[in-house]
Amino acid sequence: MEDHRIMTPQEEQVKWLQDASNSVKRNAFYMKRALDEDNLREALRYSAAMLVELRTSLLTPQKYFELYMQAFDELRHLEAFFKEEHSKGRSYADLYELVQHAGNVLPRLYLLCTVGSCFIRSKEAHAKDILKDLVEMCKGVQHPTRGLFLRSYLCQVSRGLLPDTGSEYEGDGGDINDALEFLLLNFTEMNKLWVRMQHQGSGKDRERRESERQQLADLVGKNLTYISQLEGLDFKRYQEVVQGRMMEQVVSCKDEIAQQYLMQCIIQGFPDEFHLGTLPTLLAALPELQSGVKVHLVLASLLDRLSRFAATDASVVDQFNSSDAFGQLLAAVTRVSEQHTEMPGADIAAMYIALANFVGAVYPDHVDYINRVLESCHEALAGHGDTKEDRTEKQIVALLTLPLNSYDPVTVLGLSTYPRVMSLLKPATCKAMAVKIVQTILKVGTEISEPAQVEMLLDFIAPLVADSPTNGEEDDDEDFEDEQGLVARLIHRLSAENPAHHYALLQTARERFSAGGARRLRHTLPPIAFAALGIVHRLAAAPNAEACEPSPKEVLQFVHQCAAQLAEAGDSAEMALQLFLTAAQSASGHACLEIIAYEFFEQAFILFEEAIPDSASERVALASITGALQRCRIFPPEPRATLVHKATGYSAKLLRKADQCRAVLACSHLYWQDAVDEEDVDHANNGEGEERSAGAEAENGASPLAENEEDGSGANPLQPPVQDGEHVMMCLKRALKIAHAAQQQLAVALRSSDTLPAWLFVEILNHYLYYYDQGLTSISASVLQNLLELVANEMAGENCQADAGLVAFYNNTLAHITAQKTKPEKASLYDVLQI
Amino acid sequence: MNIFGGLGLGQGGTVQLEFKRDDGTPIKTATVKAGGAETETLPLFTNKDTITGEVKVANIPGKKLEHQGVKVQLIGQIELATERGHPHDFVNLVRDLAPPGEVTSPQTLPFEFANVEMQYDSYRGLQVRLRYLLRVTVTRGYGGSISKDFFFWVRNYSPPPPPNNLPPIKMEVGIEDCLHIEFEYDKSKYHLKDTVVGKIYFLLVRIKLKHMEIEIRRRETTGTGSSARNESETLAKYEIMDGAPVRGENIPIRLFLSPYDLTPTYKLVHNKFSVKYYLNLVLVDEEDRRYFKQQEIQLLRLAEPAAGADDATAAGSGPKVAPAPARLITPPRSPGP
Repeated sequence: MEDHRIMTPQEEQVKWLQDASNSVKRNAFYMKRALDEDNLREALRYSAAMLVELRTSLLTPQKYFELYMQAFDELRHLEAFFKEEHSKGRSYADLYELVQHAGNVLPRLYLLCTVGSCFIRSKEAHAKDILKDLVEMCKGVQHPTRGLFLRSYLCQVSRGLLPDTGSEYEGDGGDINDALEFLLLNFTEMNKLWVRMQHQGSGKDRERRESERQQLADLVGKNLTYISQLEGLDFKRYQEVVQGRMMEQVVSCKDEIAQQYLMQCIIQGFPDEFHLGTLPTLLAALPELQSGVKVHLVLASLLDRLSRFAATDASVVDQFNSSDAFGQLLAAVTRVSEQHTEMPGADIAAMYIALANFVGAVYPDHVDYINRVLESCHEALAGHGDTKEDRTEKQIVALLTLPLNSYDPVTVLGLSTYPRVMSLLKPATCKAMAVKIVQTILKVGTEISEPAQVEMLLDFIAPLVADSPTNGEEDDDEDFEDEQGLVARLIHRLSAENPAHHYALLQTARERFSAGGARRLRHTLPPIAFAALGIVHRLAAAPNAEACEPSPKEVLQFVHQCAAQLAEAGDSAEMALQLFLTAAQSASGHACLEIIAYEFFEQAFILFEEAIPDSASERVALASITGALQRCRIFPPEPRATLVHKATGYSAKLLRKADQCRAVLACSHLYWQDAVDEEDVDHANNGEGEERSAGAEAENGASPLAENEEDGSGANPLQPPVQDGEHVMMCLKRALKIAHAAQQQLAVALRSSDTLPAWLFVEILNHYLYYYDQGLTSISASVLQNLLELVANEMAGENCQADAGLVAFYNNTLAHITAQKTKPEKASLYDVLQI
Repeated sequence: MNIFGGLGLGQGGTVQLEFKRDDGTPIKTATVKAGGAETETLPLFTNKDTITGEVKVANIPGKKLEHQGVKVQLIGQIELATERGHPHDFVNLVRDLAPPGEVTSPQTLPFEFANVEMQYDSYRGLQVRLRYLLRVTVTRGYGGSISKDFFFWVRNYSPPPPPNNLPPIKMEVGIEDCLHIEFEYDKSKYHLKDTVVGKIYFLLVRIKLKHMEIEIRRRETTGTGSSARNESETLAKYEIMDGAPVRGENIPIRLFLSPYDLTPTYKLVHNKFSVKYYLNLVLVDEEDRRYFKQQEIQLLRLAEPAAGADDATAAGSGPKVAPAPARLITPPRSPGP
């Protein structure tokens, strides 16, 4: 039959409970019948028989609880009967003795508690005496589960019967001290039983046992709840009696589960003021706890309560201050970590997080506290083995992120210990943290305007600024680019009202960035240089630029250093070259420093010659050079001629004909500067899209021919615009020649269908038209007419007609001529042209 | 209540005996076990009591009862199981109630034993009993005498011992490296309605205990010297602890003696027997091994309060204002408030 198969543990439990429950029911039935018959002796006999079922050792706490509840309900009948007996004249003292005749200790004590509660309620006995007796007698049950339930029963039936302040049982029945004593004793005994469970049975059942213990936790905790609910429990009593007793028990029981649970109970159960007032004692207990206790959780809930308490009332913060709550907390946390060397790093960090959260909530102004928290955290974790573990790192990152979220980034930069804590992280994590910091600053948009802050900032993001000594270049290039992009953006956050300050910031930054190696410098130097140029701009705009500290010259020298460093860094020659050119423009345009500007150009040229790696870059670089040089009006004719000559020379050396042609065309402009239109300088765009030039000339005035070359730093007057028609013509003709040569070259290469020469011709035509328009006398209408025809011929080719872009370009050019014809002031020039 | 002994005599008459007091107050009684679950109620006396009463001798109506005299004897005897049927009388007093004659109608014959020496308590044990009886004999020359026994019970009372002269029993016992306990009973002498209060301290526990109980054991000793015989019985088992204590625990004891059928301790009663009581502390481990320590206690009987016959507590019916709870524990070692 089915009955004979082996039952699972669950089924066994159900069956055992069923059996016990049936017996309880049966005996309860007889008990009630005896009660009906007014037979006290029999009633006691059956009630004891009923309670004997609670002696079982077979049931799990959960099932035992069900059985207990069943017996509990039945005992209420007995209780009612006791009251009835009493009203008939039987004294409770008598009953109190009578139930003690029961031979088994467990049923006897259940009955005793039941009578005891009636006894107290009748006030025939002093509550304190009965309570003291009950709590003492219950020691007879040393079995953990049974004892816990018995004492829980005691606790339950005596509820409301304690001689609490204001209670009707106060007075002869005792006072609050007796009530406290009772609950504390019961608590102590229950906790001992609870802890003892851990050490029973074999090791392999440990997990099950621990889960069973968790189920019983609330029975123990109920005592503390009751204590906290006593009316008469004022702070003084709590401080002098209750807390000490509770903590003593918690600490001395040396049990992780109990300590964890009870600490939470105490923290949650008692009022905030109590905790605040007894903080030293409470905190002193923390290091004493077992190492397996999650102290950080305990601490977190304590701090959480305290900070919520502080939020309710401003005066609380004063109390915090007067008791140096923070100092105490910090010391406690430190001691915990010292004491528990084997505590996981993550938990240590979590404690500090809790503390930091507390500081953030309670002392929003005390950044120094955060600093101390971090410092202490660093000390605690520095010697710790598992800081590199993921879990620990996560916590450290969380700790570091906290101030970023709650404070203004600049404030965070005041945290001198922050980088030290960061250094605990693995390089990769550390870097991620640095990125986070940068992102925060960028997001918030704070300006960093103190050199010290810059230093700090760079300390903070050290992993981004330089390679860490331990870890080589392992990271992903793309990530690296992203990071450096962020750092570059960050540089623009360094700024100050005062140019001198701003300059100092940049100097600091550059110094630090220099350690970062070529890969980083490529990203970090340009923004610094450009920021510096911004300063030059501002200085030059000032009424007396020369008297400024620093002088524009000094700043430009700084830019020069940056650019030079960038050039040396390798692989960034184009950038360096652009930088030199921009600086040159700045020098010539805003600051009017001719010699410096010349030097910049020279450097740019050297770079062009030595460092530009390929022809495409060369073309772009040369275009930039030409553009920059074209706009410079600071150089006297001779130096200028040198530079122009050089640039023109470069154009001839380009590899491809088309590039040569275009470069020569561009060079033609070097000989033809726009007539100065003072109003319009601001809007003048050079074709290469470099820096816009500002109206420095306006201030300096275009006082011609003031030769101040002996003083490079002096405000050189601008030279009059160069308009050298002869050289322009030479350039144009050469361009034509090159275009023809290109055409022939293609023919040789059997690629005569290529439309490139036609493009070049149209471009040349455009340049001719430009100079014609500018009134260059060497270009006569007939020359232009010839060219027009030449181009028209070229364009007639089938392949040219097929190139839509080219056709559009050509048609636009023709449309321009036609349009010019309609303008009255230009009509005389253009009428003669025939399309 | 049958305080009248009576018997129909086969030989032509009945004899009855009634205990009576001169002043008419009721005779005290005692309910005692009569073997098994049965009890019987007997007249109760104590040493130096004067026992008075009446013997009623009646003839069968219509027949006369001739006799050679009527007498009543007061006998105190000890009967050992080993010599059953041959009790040893330690008291034997005789009163002649009537000279030889005949009874034609029921006669009432008063008797009196004044200040009887009854220094021993009545006792019913396993192998010995001590009893008192009144034996009425109607002596007849022929057909045998009519003899009838009327039992009564004797209890003697001790004065309460001086309170300061009650040393507690305190002892440390154990098995080396295994179990060390110290137990403490508040006194070494208890009266029969007393409560044993004490404590067990666990100084060392290396075995897994299951429970602990206190037994009340009674030992009868009969004979002396080499022929001495001991017989023990356990009168009470009282569990005082459930589960396994750990070192440092102390377990309270509070054992009420009143529910049990105890007698005072008797020492060499008439050189025939002794009755001693012991508290036996028994610890049982998980493998059902038993560890025990037996300790003799002196039991004595105090005079009962005047009001009740058996039940000391039945008296108080008025509103008692918070009396101290009956017999609360006084933890031994705690200093008084």
